[in-house]
Formats: sequence, structure tokens, C-alpha cells
Amino acid sequence: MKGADGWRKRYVSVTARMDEDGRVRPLSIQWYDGKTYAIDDVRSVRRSSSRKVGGDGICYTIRIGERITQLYYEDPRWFVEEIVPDELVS
Amino acid sequence: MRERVIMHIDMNAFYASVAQHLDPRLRGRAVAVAGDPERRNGIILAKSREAKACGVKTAEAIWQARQKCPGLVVVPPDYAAYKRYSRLARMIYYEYTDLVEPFGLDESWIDLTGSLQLFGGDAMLVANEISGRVKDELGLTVSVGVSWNKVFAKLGSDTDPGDGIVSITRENYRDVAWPMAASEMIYVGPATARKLRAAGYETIGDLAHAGDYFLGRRFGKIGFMLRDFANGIDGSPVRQMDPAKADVDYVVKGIGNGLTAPRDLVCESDVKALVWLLSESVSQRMRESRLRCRTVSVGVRRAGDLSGYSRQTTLRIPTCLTSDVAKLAMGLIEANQPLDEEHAIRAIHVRATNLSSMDDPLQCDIFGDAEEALRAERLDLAIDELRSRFGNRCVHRAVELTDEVMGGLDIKRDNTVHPIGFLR
Repeated sequence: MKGADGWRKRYVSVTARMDEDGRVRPLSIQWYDGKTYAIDDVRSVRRSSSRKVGGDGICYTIRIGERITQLYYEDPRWFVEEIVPDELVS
Repeated sequence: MRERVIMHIDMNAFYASVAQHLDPRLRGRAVAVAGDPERRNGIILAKSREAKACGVKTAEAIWQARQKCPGLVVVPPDYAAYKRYSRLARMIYYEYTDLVEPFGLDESWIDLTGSLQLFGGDAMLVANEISGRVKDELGLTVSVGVSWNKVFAKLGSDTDPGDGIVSITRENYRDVAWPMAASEMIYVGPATARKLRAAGYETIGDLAHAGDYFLGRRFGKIGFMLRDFANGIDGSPVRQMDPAKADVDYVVKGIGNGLTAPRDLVCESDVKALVWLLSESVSQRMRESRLRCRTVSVGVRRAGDLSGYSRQTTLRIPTCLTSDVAKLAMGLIEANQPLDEEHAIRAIHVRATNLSSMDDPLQCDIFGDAEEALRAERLDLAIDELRSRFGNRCVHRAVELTDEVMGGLDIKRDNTVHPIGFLR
């Protein structure tokens, strides 16, 4: 689904671990081109809505390498806010 | 006694906001949520702020709205999403108090009298926090009214259509509430407002000073209640609901279903099919709640001039049988109009009221066949059982098969209860 200009809602496959107290910790994201990105750190977890692409859920602020981004759990799916390159914005 | 702290939280343009939230491309555009024109429910159910600015009104036809606002984006309703956001918003309120009383899907009263101190003691700050959280977590805006009673709290939240917070206190209510039009107040509908205006009462302040004689003669005891409301005298509590089923925890006073037919009903078999479909849903819901009714009423909207009427009849012995309800409803319609093309019907409503529990003992009719009635009841219950296992459409009435479109409707499944009622 296309979001606000320059952004798109992208559902992704996520590998996550569920702790014994029920907490969920996402470990890696599989991108649609087949690449897997390991999540190095979860900075914060809170309920939030995405202004950029719409929808809401549990928002994980995560670090992948040097990049900080948001991963949303929109029961029962995960999504990220994908950046759409300018030439693709119609 | 400590002054009560009550908030009324109203989610702005709820249906349209949810649509805009889920699809960011709709943000900032004139959006209307409307029924399906194919099934002739094509009226505006809700509109965004932008559409409202163009003059689009709730309940007008889509083509009327398009005339005023050519760029209007019309989206179908999504009740599952509305229920979800309604529940998520209440979950936020429940973090501040256990006293949360929903009023429809998009409004709630919350009573913070006992818990305000836990959150710093400043009602305006807490209102701000709640408003901010709903915006961050759900992406929706709310307006909040803060007061010492439910009536003024609601008045406050209705005052600001944006995401504002309005406080009506004992100190300022004469300046804030009294200059407002009387029709802004809960329980002053169009008819009451017209009567008040005719007698020269325009504002809430006027109503607050109305005399006993006028109120008593014109409105009866409701008149005195309205004057109390206008003076901020309303002791009604914020009812505690079960958070798990906050929407359904009301005392049921009546069960009804209505439908605008996919096409005009022009003969007896058309009308019969719809009446039976509706009665089936009503009776089935009645039996599910283990209730019987003594009053059956019908509402009819004519296709020609969209005028309507309603009629009701009361039984001596309560019933929960589909056939009883349907025959009574059909009888009421037949007694009031001929069923032909000239008197085509657009919509029908069937309602069962005057409810009593199925477990209450029944007074038998000395000339009636009590055993036969029991057998009929067992038959209906058996059909209900089948339907609960295999779906509502596994057993059909022959009358419903006369019309393909109508036979395909599942009124009971599509039924959504919107509890609305201030006085209980």
C-alpha cells in the first residue's frame, strides 16, 4: 500500500523470539528481495501509530547496523515504513 | 463532598478519521464514509473535517454531497476497524480510571474523581495527556470536555470540533455554557428546540431560567430535568462497565432490525419476504438472550415520498416465536396500506419490546393450546441450534426464496448494536 509521498507500507517477514514472560523481541527482518537484516538492538517499545504510512500497533525502535528505524507489529503482521525512491513516486 | 471530575471524550469525525488514518493518502482531503449505492444504502454516514467545510452533511445522498464537493472521496464503512479503535481508545481511558461509560462507538464518559490525585491532581493536564496519547498511539484526534457533571462534560467536548479541551466549571459555566444554543445540550433534539424557540427560549441560559408553569405544561417532568441540566444539576453517575465487553453490558429494552430493501417492495410476497427475514433475525436474537416480547412494532418507509409511519400491537401472552412476530408485523402493515405498486415500500423495521425473561412463568390461555406453543418454541430453538452450528443461512423459510437478492441477505450476522441512551 502506498503511503504519504515518499513512503510505502511494506509488510515484512520477521523472526522473533518470545520470552517466557510473553515479551516479544524481533531478531531479524527478511526483506522482499531475499536479504536478511539482523536487528542489533531494540531501543524502545511502545504503542504508536505511523503518520507516514498509516496503521498502528506496537512500535519497536530498532537499530540495524548504524541505522535506527521503526518496526511495527500490527497484530498479526509486521510492517516497516519503506522509503520510495523519487523516480518511483508517480 | 469532593467535587466530581468527569470528562467526556469524543473522537472527532470518527469513521472518516479512521479511514484517513489507515490510508494516509486520504489525509487532508474531503473524505466521506458512505453506504453502498448499489444496495440503496448510499447515504453519507460520516465526513472528514475537510468535507464538512464544503457543507457535506451526514445522512444526505452521495450525489447531493458530490454536488457540493466535487472532489469528495467516498469510502465504504469498515465496522471491524471502528470497533477495534473504539476498544483501543477505551483501553487508554481504563489506565486512568475504572469508570468508563461508552456512549456509542466514538464517545465515552470517564469519572476521575477518585483517581485524579494519582495523576497529579490537575484535570486539564490529564485531559491533555489522554488526548496526546490517543493521537500518538492510534493516530486519531479527540476533543475533551471536563466538568463536574456528565451533561456539561459532553457540552464541553461538543464545543470544540478540533482536538481541543474545554473545561466547564462552577465558576465559568454561566459564561461558557449559557450563551450556547439550547439545541447543543443533550436531550434537546430538533422537536424540543423548536418548542423552546417558539416560546422565546434560544440559549441554554434561557432554559436555565425557564418557569415551572411553562416547562410543566409544555414538556412535563422532562422539562424540569432539562432545566436542571442547563443549571449543571445532574447527579447521574458514570456507569462502570465490564471492560471485556464494554459495548454490550446494557440492559436490553428492545430488539429490532430494519433494512432498506435492495429494490422497492411492490407486492405482498416482496413485503412478506422482508418482514419474515427481519422477524427471523429479531426473534432469533430474542431467543439467544432468553427473552420473550409482548409488543411488536413495525416501521415503514414509503418509496414515493420517503415518508413513513410506525404501528405497534401488544399481545396478551409473551412470545419469542418467529412466526408470531412475523405474522403480527405483517398484519400491522396490511392493516395500514394496500400492498401494490402505488404504495411501494422502501424500508421496513421490525422491533420487539416489552421484554420479559424466557424463564418467567407463562400465564396460559384457557382456550389456547399451550403444548402446541411449547412445541413451536422447541422447533425454533432447534433451528437456532442448527444455525449456530452451520451458519444463519443453512435453514431457510420458503417465503424468503421468492427473491434472490433478498434471500441472500444475512440480517442477523450483519447486525451491529449501537447502544445510545442517556437516561436509563
